[in-house]
Amino acid sequence: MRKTRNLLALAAIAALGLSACGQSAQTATTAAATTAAAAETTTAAAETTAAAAETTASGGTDSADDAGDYPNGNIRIVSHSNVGSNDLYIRALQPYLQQELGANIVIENVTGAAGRLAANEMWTSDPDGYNLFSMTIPLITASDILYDADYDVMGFEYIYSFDNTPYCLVVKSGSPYTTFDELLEGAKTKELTNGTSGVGGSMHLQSMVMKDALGIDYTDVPFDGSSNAVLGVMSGDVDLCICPADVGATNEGEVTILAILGTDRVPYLPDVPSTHELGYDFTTLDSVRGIVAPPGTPKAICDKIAGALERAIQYPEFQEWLSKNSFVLEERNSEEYKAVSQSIYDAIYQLKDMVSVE
Amino acid sequence: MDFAGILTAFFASVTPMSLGVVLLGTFLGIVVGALPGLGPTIGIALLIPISYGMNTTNALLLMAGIYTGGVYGGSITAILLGIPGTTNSTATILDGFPMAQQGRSMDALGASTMASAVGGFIAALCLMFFTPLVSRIVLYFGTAEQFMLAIFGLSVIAVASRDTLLKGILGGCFGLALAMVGYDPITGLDRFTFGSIQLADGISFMVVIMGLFGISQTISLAEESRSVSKTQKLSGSTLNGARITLKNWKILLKASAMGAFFGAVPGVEGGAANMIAYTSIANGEPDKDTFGTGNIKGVIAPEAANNATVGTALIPTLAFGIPGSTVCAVVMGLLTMQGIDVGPKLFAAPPTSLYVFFWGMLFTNFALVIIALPLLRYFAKVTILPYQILVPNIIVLSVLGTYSLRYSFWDVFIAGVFGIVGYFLRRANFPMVTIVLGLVLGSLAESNLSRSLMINKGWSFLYKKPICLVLLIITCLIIILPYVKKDNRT
Amino acid sequence: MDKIKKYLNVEIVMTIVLLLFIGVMAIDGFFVSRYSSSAMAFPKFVFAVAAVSGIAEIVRNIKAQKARQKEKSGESEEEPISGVFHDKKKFFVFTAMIFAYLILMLLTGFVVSSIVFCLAYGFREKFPNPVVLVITSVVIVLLWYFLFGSVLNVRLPAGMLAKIVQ
Repeated sequence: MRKTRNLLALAAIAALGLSACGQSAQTATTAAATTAAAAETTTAAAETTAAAAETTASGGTDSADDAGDYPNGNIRIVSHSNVGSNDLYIRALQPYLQQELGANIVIENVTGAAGRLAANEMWTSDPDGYNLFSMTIPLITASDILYDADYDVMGFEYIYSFDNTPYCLVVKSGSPYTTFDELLEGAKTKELTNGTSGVGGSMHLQSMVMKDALGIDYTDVPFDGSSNAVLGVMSGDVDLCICPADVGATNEGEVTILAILGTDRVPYLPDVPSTHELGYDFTTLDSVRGIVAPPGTPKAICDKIAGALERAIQYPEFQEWLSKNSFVLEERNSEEYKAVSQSIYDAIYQLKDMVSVE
Repeated sequence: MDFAGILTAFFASVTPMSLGVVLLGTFLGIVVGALPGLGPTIGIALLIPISYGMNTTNALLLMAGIYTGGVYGGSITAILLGIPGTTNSTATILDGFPMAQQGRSMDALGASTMASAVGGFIAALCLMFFTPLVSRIVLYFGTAEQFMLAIFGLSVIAVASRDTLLKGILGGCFGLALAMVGYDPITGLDRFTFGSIQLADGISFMVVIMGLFGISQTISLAEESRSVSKTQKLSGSTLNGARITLKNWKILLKASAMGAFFGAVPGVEGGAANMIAYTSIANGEPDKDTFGTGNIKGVIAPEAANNATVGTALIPTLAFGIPGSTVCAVVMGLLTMQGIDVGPKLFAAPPTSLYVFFWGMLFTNFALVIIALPLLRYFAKVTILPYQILVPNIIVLSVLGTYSLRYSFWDVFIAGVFGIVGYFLRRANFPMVTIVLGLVLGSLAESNLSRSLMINKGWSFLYKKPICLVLLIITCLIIILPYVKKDNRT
Repeated sequence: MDKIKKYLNVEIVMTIVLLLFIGVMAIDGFFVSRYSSSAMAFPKFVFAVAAVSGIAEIVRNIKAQKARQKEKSGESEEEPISGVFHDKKKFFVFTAMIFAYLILMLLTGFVVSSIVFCLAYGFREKFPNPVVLVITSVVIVLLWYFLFGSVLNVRLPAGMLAKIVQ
């Protein structure tokens, strides 16, 4: 009997702790995004306490009439990577977006298979505005074209994009190549190696485009992710790497950035010339980050989200974060976003046969 | 050495408020780490939005606590229930759970606490004082060296399974085979997936462990209609466990060194480090045959190693802005948001907040001991709960933990299947350690081999690169020596 | 047949199981999906080592059994496969309950299925105090539900049935 009493005591304490925990959890959620998004169960008790939290959290001032009372609950934003800039970006933006939309935002990581798992899931999610996708192209585009994917990257509802990160070419500091031209010369005489983030990944595709356009050749060595590719340059495994410019900027000192692939320089690397300046013109597949929604999401809701995004980005704290982390704001509205996605799609489609992925 | 900065940060971090924050963070980390399937990653990720309102010192100290507590926390469920809270605590199950079954869970918990604290402390010292130095060493471990490290890790299989060598090798191959399933970044192919996109994401390490260890052991409990502790009594105490740990300081140092090393070097992560530390240290002990049956040293070694990876794993993250693991990536995110710009420029002009973070990393190890030792004796009571209540709840928790990894029901199902497979494998005397080693080191070995062959156009790296050569020799010695010793004796 | 059965112990069975699994992968890699040789290089090595060690293990095991039987002058048989279990019935019942639980979870979501599972097991195993059993089952499951679902934001299985009902 002692045991049973102990057990009852444990259960009572657990129940007390649970209700206390439940209370403090609910108050915490009004200040930060933490409530479960879709835990619909048949337990009525659970539902009412969750609903209580939601009503205290929502209440945006903006009421776009066609959007109805959206948002009226938790919004889930799926992020397809859990390391690096792609994920950090949306997490940094989240609190400001929350304030603008007036609803809790939960960021959910669905990683794996080069973004395909997340994209597949978003493709079939409810188009009710409560499921959004924080997407980075050309990664998702490449995965669509090169693999047997269930989704169509052009079929999403393009809401807004806010970031445009070009690629840059880096070599190890102390490398014999100190300019882009020297590197091109070197590629013609020696067998160089280039680190990519994986076969069929954006870095690899960009490398192939460049090789083809400039008429040079080197070996693309796939690493597991862009970080490891840059590490490969720093440890001397590979000669060069074509990586996102913000990664290059972070590692300035260990690596030397020879050029930015594209037409313009970037503000956080003022001394690095662009390939266009140097006289080389080829298609560049810049990384574009934005928010899309499952196909069929009503336009009014998309517009409301776009408006909120636009305002959230303007918050001074976020602007400060952007500049500190070498991100350059480049905003595109729905049509522009879709247009740039289409051009990236077309560019990659042409490369399709060059990349052999069974 | 920026002693001024270090001192200023020290005074900022020893205020009652700051120390309280460290305690809170450590406690939260322990909770999150103990719950299977979660871990410090989620803890810190949740912290990020909340940390906007906080002042920098508090946010950083909180994060340091969550990180350390999170890695340690996994040992609690590993010991008490046989389920790893995080992949870092896999090896802890091997001797920790048998100890709990003998009623000695408090000793085990005390040992794991103290071992984790010491390992973490040593690594935090490295972090504070040796980051620039260690970061240079990190760069020496390129892809060829990482391949050799993976081979070294795998060779431990041969050592681990002496008497059951053939089964051990087969088990290792099984683990390697499991690791080959899924999307392979080297070739861009989805391999062995039979067209399923779920399999394209590979078979997760944690899922397999949950099944092979957690669920299969619970099935045994159900079969025998008993709770975890066979004796229905608790013996020993957390203080006793801590005391024994300190007595075994040589193991502590060895394990911490291994953990610190693997933490810093890219490739081998915490999940593998604790297994490698466990098996290689076990092999070097005179009572090696008792490992796996409840030898407390089998708890000390992996726990010291896994917490030692915490501090040094941040070195490449800080020095290069290159996170070695998901946790590091999230930590890096929060550091960046608090104004610490990672990368080579960081140590040229280190901000005071960086040192505040370092002090936090040191203090949290004390917090671990302060919080865990007194509280855990209550948790140990779980092992004597009536089995009718305990057994199904272990399953429920395992399911929960498995599901929360990737929100995949498929994963849960696979864990169930591995539960059954694990049950029979144990009855068939297969050393589970080898399967786990193969699984966790498989992709590391293969991808680095492919890359090295590509870069060096052949196997020349084995003898041309000095570190590779050294590792190769060590590996051969490890495999050959036990047989040589045997011959010498006869 | 009997001669084979005589030596078939659980160790050999599991060895064969593992070999079969690896064999299926090998068949897929070489014949079905036909991956390129570079993609199969490492797998080939693993398959080869597995095959060798697996077969060697079976041989070793049979030899060891024969040696033991010679010692015992051929009287006692090897542990039959059912000797593997402590309690065959309980094993199968529990395993079946686990999978029933999982299927139930798919249909009705986490909370309901977990409570049912705990209650079913507790009652079947004749836990002395039914009131305590019900209280703890419900309370503990709800505790997990709030801890994981609310505080930690983990989306829990909601159950297909729930969606259909809506």
